[in-house]
Amino acid sequence: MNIPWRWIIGGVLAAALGVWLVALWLPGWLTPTAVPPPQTSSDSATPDSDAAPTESRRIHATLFYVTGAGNALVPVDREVPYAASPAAQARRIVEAQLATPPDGRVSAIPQGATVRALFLTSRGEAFVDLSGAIAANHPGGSLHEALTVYTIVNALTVNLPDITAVQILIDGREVDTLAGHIDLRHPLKRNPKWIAR
Amino acid sequence: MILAISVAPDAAQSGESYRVVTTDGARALAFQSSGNAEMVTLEAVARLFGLTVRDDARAGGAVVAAGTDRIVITAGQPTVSISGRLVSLSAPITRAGSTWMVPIDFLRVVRRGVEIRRGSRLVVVAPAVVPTVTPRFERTATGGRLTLQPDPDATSRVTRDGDQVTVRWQAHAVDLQPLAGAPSDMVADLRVADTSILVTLGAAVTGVRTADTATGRVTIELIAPGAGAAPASSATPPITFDRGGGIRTVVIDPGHGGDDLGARSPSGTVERDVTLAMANRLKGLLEARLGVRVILTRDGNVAVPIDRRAALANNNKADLFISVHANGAPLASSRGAQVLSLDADVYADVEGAAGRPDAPALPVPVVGGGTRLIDAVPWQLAQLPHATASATFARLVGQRMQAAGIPMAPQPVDVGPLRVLVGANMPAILVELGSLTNADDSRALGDPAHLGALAEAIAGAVFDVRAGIPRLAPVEPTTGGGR
Repeated sequence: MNIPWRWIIGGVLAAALGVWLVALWLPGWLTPTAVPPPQTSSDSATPDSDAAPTESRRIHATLFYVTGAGNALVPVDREVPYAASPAAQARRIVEAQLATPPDGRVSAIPQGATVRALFLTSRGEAFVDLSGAIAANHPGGSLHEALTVYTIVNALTVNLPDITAVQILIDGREVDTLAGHIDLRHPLKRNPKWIAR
Repeated sequence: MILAISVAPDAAQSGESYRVVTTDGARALAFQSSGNAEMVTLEAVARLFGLTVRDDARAGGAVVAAGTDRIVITAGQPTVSISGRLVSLSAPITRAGSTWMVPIDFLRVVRRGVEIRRGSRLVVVAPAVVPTVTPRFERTATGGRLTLQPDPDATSRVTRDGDQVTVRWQAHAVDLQPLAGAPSDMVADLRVADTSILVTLGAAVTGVRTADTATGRVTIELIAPGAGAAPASSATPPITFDRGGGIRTVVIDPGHGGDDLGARSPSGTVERDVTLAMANRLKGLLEARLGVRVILTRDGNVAVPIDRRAALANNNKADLFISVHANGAPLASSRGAQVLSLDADVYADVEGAAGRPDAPALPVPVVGGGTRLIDAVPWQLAQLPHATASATFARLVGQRMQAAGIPMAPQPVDVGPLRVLVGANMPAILVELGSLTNADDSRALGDPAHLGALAEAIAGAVFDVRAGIPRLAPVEPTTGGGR
């Protein structure tokens, strides 16, 4: 039986197109690692903008609020919107952490702060870009500042284990501190001493 | 009627008494407490100083002849007249029958050069010399160290006989202050005998080394194998200085400044102003007491970039860097002072941290030709080699504050990734004086007496470092919650 060459070429092209479409639309969640594959430059970091919530699913996350003694953070189980990618999920968690706290809880985050962007790197570092209100509205004091910083650092590292360190940016820029004390020039790891037992 | 009373040693008396020290010796002077006043009989005072007392029945008083002075006293009056000049006393003079009672400060009226040390129940009559000797015990890797610090300076001779060490002072008496914190197996007893201090060694002590200093301080090393606070291998290393002579320069950094107000109290007090006031107070104290050079990173309400603060310390080869702050917290109930040093663990992954100790020195050209090797210290790593010494210094300040009764935070001494300390190439701490968001702390930080106590505590720790406290027990772990 003679098969026309145009049919063979057409079949190969159709198969290649199918493979390409499957690779393009495969959700990030289904890849072997929760953070993007190794990359060498920050330009190739994974942004959170590809996964706006498209459904009303929610997940349980541990958020952090100030203890009654006022000098540490207490973990509180809260529902936050589900997102399809790690970066988007990280953003949802930070947004929930920045939102008005539940009744009876006190947040160490100053009012008015919003998330501008959030990126993950291949090294498990999260870069959280916050609006300038996080610094402009901060009441000051090394204790308050440490509680603010580690609220965000611990919220991400506790809920998303593939995130090992967090660096806070303000208005897209690297900063020395929020209010003059805590060094923000490097990603900070989870610090359990700020979590009350 | 004229009473002529000759001086004679007091007979043994019951009750409380002062010890009156003159160049001729010491004798007891009994007193009775009356409210806040301590009253002695005029008869005893007259015997002590060879006074003559004449009753004046018509005036209801008496006249005391003290040398060329005529002192008129009146029952019920808290004043006396000295040759027509009125002098106030701490309590009214009383009379019961033929016995006159005068307050203890009457001794200063009848005799110049009298010093009354109420806490020690001591009266020193010049030119007698009675140094106040402050003992202090501290643990060392080899056992313990007992230091005896005289004030004013005085020379002494130390001898040992069995389990007793005798420190004999060139003085007319010794005013020994209480010793706190010495375990009985190291110092079994410490007491005064005549002009000597007798130290009875504890059972754990197997050997003794003594050393005098130019300032008169006596140091007694108590060798007690196994009794040290920690094995030498795990003890916190001493605070050492690259340059001889101990502490020469201290840089104090008043936090914030300019438009950066720092933390604020509800009443409007701002951290920027509190830190500057404390820095100025501490500067004066350190310069006056220790004679060291003190530099402030700002002496007015100006903004200073954060790196310039440590740079000032580095460029002036400071031996200590103290950044002064006042805290703020999300809850008004949080309060207390806190002393912080750099958390070196946070910087373990920073590029270059691991390889720094082996970093080669860089050759740089010098004036006149040739080159000189200098150690290149990356700015973000400059504090790391000093982290342990800084933690020790922080703990000393914390201990001094606690000893002074200053309210402390639940974690009085802690570590953190503190930006201002990172670039300091010397032992460096950040002191939070208290929390401005707490009403009690905020009020205290406006009280000169409280600020003075804080400054004294910090200065005392600087003095400790200069005196060479060599080792402390390891700093308590600060991780693991329980805050």
